[in-house]
Amino acid sequence: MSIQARTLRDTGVGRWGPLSVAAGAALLAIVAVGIAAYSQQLIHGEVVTGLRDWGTQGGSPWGLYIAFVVYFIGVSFAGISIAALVRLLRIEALQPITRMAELLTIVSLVLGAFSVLADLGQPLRGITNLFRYARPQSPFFGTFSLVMAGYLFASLVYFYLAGRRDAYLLAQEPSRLQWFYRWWAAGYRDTPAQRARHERTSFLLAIAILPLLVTAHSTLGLVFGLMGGRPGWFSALQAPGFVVLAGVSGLGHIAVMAALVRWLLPSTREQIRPATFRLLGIFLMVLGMIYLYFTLIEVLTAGYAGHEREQELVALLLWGTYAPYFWAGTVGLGAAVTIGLVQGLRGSWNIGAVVAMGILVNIAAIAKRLIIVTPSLTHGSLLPYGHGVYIPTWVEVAIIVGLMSLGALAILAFSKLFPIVPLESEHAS
Amino acid sequence: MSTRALLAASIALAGFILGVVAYFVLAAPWGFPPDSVAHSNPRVPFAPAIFVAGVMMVFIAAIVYELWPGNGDHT
Repeated sequence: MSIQARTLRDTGVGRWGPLSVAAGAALLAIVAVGIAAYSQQLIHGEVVTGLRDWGTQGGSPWGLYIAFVVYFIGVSFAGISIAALVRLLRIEALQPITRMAELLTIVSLVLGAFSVLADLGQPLRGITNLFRYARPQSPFFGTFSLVMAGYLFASLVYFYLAGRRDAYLLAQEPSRLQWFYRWWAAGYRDTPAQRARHERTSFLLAIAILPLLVTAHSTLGLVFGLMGGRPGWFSALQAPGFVVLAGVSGLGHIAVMAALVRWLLPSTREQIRPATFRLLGIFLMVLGMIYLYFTLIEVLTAGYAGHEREQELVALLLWGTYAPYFWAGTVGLGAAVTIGLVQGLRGSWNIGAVVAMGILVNIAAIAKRLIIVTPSLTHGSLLPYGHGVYIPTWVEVAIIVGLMSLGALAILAFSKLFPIVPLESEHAS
Repeated sequence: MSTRALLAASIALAGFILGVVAYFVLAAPWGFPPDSVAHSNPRVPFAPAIFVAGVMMVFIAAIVYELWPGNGDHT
């Protein structure tokens, strides 16, 4: 058996076992429910959602969709930044998870774009007018142009170029997908000149992507942080807070994905080692601590010296309507940091514990995104309106769960087309 | 400088210039109050799309640099 044939089999490419088929079918069924829910929204309008205008309609025009736009784009942050940092700092322990990290970035950016479309009553009109009339200087456009166009496109380019070597190796062996691997390799033959060229390109791309990342995530924070008339949003900490929480949620996802891949594909265990999880755990712990510090400072500042509406909002978060979300977010993050600290003190990092950290920080991130978006709209008006209420309907929940399933399905399908963990370097020789 | 490097650098530079021109010259002008009509409408329709195209061109340069055929591709 040739090296490439063994490699193909070990990576799970082209093999749909009973578990994969069952998972794929279940995900597809959930996506179908999401599509059915979205068709209801398209037919009847946004009246089928819990979204209403603030003020006289006593609601919130942004809810679950926008909270998940922020969440999905946040998840994308860690993927490409890990790939870029591995390239720039040569962190070998993270090398095996770069492809799944890049894939997570692309998938979550697409899901973020779909969530924006779900929020629009007239999606086609929204897309056309965005590219026709938008102001590039606006944080809104900055988010959509830099995130959806620049950042997604840059990630696709990075992903494509980084995969050419493996595509070349896979194209050596006859298979039903040989044409696809040849197309992806696009003349790549793993010669010293081509390797050197790829090193240069990926180094420059990594340098170009990192500032783009920080700018894109900061502008997303500025969409909220620049709203001077909206207590709870207007804060200098929004932009850095968005960047940090983005890192936390994305790293958490990668930790869970890496553990799943390691469990499902035993051949990857030599590549995705405990050292990989140790690094992910340390990053998660440090970023989690920084975000907890930001939360404390925001609550202290607004609660101690904020004006009446600011203080009202803080009370609402601490012991009012939104307290379950606030405490779920804060306790979840605190628990993840504690798990990290215990492991750090013991000097040994358990994979299961890092996965638990990853799940906890993502529950925390979703709760945090919800309380960033909604309370300021229902209770943060400076005008003399009463308080609003926002309760998502089944349509919104089904669309969001459908989108999450679509993302998982895309990752599953990709893993059957292409190795989700880069092939080992000795296979090149 | 090789043809490959020259071509990639030209595309990246063209994309960067396109982005800058779209942002500062073709899009809505900077000024106060920023929400007035004069400062809201783009000076050229689809200026935002041109800006996005400029950003994309910068990254397309990387593909051109790697895929452009040249010496050392077969040995």
